Amino acid sequence: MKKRILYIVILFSFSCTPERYVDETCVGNKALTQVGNLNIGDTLPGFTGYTSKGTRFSLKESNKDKVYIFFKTKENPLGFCINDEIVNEEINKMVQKRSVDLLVGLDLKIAGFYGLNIQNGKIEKSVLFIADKNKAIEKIYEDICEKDIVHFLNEEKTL
Amino acid sequence: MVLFLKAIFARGHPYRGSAKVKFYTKPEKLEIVGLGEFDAFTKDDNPPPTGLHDIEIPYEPHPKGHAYIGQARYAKTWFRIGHSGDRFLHCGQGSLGCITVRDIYKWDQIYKHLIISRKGVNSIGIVEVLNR
Repeated sequence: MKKRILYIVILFSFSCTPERYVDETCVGNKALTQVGNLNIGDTLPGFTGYTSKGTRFSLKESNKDKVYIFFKTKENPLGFCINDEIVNEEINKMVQKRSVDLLVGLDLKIAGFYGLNIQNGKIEKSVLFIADKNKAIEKIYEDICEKDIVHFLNEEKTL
Repeated sequence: MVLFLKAIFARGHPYRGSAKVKFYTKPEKLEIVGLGEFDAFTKDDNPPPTGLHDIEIPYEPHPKGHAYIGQARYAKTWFRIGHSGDRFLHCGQGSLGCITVRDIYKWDQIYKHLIISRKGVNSIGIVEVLNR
């Protein structure tokens, strides 16, 4: 009986609501120096967007010390979500404490513009861009998962 | 059979006249005469030039619309603004300088209106971009 209850608890703790920010198994991230035409040191290409909750954002308006842009592979009803709209509680809390803007997106047009490969209507590999307050790219990682983002956020200074 | 009979008895061609569309950058809004108003936006520092532009008949599906296919059946249909370049009228949540309709659930309604409109042999109508 206990086993059954435990099984149900585990099952529900990993279930996803439609807006749940779903993660994949971490396979080990890989640091890159280039994605498409974007290299370390280049400025992040600007774009304007709306999150699913109606928040307008423009990359050039971000005034935080760091900008994280995370393109996810997984099929998900979200187009974009930003900072406190991210459902992962751990990431959400950290973003609020750190001087970071974190944007999670899977808009294929923007992903394609950033040089990501798109296969069969989805982003081939999850990619994270980390840029400084001038939007200059400091780091690029491929095959990123939420745990990696938590780790990187841990290293950022608090507000 | 029904479609066949409809085709036989249909009067004239199935197209309506030129679509008349206005895009306001401030406040951001898309107005389609005869259909209504929709939430739309563009990139802050790269909006489409103000003035009148043809809206071209779609020429191929755009795979980058796939992310929204669950919300809009015709999300892969983008209408080019003008007859060259890469500015489009399409649905989505990110814009690089297109007219991007963020009322994604209403995109099919917009599509169905525009796709049967015609202005000459290459266009479906006109969009006027207004900076106000």
